[in-house]
Amino acid sequence: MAPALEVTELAVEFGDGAGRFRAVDDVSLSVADGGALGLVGESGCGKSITLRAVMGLLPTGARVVGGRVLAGGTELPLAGSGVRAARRRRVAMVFQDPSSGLNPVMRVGAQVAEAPRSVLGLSRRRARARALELLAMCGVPDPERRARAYPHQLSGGTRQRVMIAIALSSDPRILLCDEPTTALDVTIQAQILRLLHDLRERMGLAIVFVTHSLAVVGELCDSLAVMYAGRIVEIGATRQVLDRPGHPYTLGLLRSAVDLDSPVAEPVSIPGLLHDPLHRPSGCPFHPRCWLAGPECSVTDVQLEAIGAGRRSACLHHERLGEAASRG
Amino acid sequence: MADPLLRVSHLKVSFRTEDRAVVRAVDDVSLDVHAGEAMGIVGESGCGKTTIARAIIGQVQPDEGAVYLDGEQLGRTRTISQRRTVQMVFQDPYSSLNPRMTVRQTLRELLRVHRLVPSSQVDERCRELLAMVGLPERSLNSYPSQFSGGQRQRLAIARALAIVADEPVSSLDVSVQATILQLFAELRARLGLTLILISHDLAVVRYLCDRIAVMYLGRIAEHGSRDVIFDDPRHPYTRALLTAAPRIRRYEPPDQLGLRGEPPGAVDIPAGCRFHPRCPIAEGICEVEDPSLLGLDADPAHLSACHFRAARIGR
Amino acid sequence: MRLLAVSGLDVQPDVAAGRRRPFVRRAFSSRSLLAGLCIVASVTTLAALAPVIVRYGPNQQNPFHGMEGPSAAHWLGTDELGRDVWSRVLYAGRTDLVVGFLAVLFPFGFGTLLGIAAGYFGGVVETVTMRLVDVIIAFPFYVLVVALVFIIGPGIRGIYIAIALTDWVVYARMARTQALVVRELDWVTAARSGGLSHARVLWRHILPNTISQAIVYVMSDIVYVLLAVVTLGYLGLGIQPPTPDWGSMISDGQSFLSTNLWISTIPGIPIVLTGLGLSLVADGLTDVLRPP
Repeated sequence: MAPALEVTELAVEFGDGAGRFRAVDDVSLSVADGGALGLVGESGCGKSITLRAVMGLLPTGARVVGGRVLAGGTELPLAGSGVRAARRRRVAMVFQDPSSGLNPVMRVGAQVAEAPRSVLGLSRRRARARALELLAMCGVPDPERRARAYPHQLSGGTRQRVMIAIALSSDPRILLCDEPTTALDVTIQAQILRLLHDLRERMGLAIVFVTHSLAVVGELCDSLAVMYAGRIVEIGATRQVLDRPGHPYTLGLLRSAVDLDSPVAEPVSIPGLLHDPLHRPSGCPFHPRCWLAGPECSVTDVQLEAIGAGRRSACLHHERLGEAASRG
Repeated sequence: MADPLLRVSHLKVSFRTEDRAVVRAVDDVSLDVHAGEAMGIVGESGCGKTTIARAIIGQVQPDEGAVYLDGEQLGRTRTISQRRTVQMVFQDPYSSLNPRMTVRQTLRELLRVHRLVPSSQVDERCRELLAMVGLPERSLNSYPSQFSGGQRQRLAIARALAIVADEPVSSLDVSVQATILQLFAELRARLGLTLILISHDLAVVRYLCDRIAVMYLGRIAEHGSRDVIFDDPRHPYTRALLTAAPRIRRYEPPDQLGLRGEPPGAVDIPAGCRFHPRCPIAEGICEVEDPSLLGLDADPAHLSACHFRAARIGR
Repeated sequence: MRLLAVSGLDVQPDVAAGRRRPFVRRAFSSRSLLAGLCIVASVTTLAALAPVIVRYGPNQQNPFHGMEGPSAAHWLGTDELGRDVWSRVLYAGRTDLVVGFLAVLFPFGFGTLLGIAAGYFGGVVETVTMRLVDVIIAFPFYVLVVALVFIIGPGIRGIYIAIALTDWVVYARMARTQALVVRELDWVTAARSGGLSHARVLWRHILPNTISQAIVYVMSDIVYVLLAVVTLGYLGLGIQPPTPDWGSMISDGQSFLSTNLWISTIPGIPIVLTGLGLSLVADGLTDVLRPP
């Protein structure tokens, strides 16, 4: 059976002439029904752009220059007029900022009912009923009353639940999440993560979750792709990637994170900064910041290679990484 | 025991919202911070922690209660020496620096006001301050927009240090590679800096702080040393925060959070214990009687505002 | 003896810095700014050089050559008194442009400072200032200016006073709004809690960050004021004869529109050009004045 979502060699470019660069460079991933893939990396790594390309929501100035996206075996156009229509009932997206993702002058219930009416063709009464069902499913307390409210009358957590309900209202198989919990308080974040976790189990929803937090992605996703400078540098089962990272960047991220479970030790930052997108280092893009780098790293265009069952890494020296020495 | 460097005493700060409602942002908070220690104030949005910080630096005036610095009560206007004792580093690196002034101009302006350094040595002092936060000397001629977010945070720290760190510490040279957390640890160790860290991130607070105050809706819910707060919390809200915080190797979002629903707006503070509507262990008494912040019998320095503070609730 | 309060250490991943282009490079890269400056410079240079370029004086009458169309001798023809139109247009520019540019200075300075004070201090200062602004702004600008000049007495002095009394309000309102926003920003709080006086904070931190909008507005304001001067001239209340003035030229040539329309219409051209030029400058400035 075809995976819920399959992305093959996706490439997105920005700019033109001398100012041209790839924000997403040869990205391939797949998610099964009921699976959850996390896309992690620092700002500028291309994780959000990847999601937006899949959703057909690229900002102006960005264009897809390669790759294919298949949802449930059906190809989705990445540009052109059929982009939105192709995604109806297949893919939906949840955004980071609930205060700008909702129409401020429309009641919340009406917003959730919009897709059932226009996309699913339900009557007004049944669409309303469906909206209430979805709000309840997303854990909105007292859905009848909340449905009549305007977004500004609701708390941040409730607004995010409403956004999830809207995303689910068109009956998608795939839910793309672009840092939906980053702006939320920690207890609300935990509730939303739990909600997404439950939705996966109950509805068999496939999720792609973008975040910069390893802890968040570790809790929700069963597989993990680490991105750097527009490329996936490591991909595999979450537990394996976090326990025994196969790429020095992943290890760097782990070592620089402060986590409640680890002993109180000093976080170690990754030296240097992400390079200017117009001046990409030769060979492996991470090599200027990598302590494992050798002379071959600056000349070889390192590709993702299998390093174990279902695991891939784009590092020539991955065997030297050993156990995640994340806490000294 | 020596007098605390900073004492917050029964502080109450409230604001009026647009529709005339009163928000009791800080509702009777008392705290002591001793010289050399690092106090963490944690809580989620609306708990009042930022307001406390603003009251400490004098940006807002309390309705009731007071802030004492070194025994002196701080009034509406501050003396220069009071300002030299406490400074704040703001959260948002993108709005903490005047975008139209170079780093040098920003630092010199403050050094001049405080007359800490003779004008011939001002430039030298600026270089030292930058070295203290791990930034290169050439940063002096740059504008804030030329720095990354993390670097801007360091600049904000350098600015605060310009006032607060009045003795030159020539050998303090923090590596550019050090994280912000390492930087603070280093500053504490070498300068004897006292720190108040206001944050929602428990992991960061655990790394840096000796004592922690957990806030909820304008009040302190629990207060104690780092170890007891993290290993033996005695307030259900603290436990909920600990459970909710994501962990790298938990591999599943927490199922039983230990709290229900969402925080009420600070305008409708519940009667009795303000946490009771969301509390998993609330009983009848919690709806009527507002628990005071009291020490445990076994450990008077560990305070909790919960009727059931005597029982261990685990992590 | 030292205490640091740190609000919210977000241990978030770092975002790269922007690059900064020096002010001069930015200024020169703005096409609008350059084009606008060229146009305005051309008009003002021509006006400034009037005594050198023209062949006839602006008031030199030549009744036998009245109402002539453009010719080799008189590039833009002559008016009903035989005066050379080209000369009059340039000389009128000398007066009108100077008044236009100078008259905005007081409103700009006074209005901006008052507005910033109102926004920063709030309270009585704000209330009094803003209510005064509300009253004045309720009247249409030209109506108010004309009425004031009528009362004070026509002529240059009247124009300056009338503009000064009425034009400052827009700046005040703009500056106050900006000041309200800027005073809440962290760097202002840091400056105050660092011990800087109100005056210092206003001068060094608030003013530079609130004034760019006003500077851009000055460009459009010069056009408004110029039009006011021209209107007053047209009504006979402005710059008095014999000093040439575009407005009175338009008014004088009105009666001859059907036969010699250049007398009335030609003075309009430099007005339009100046307006266009200033508008382009305003556009370009918006970009250039952003913080480095």
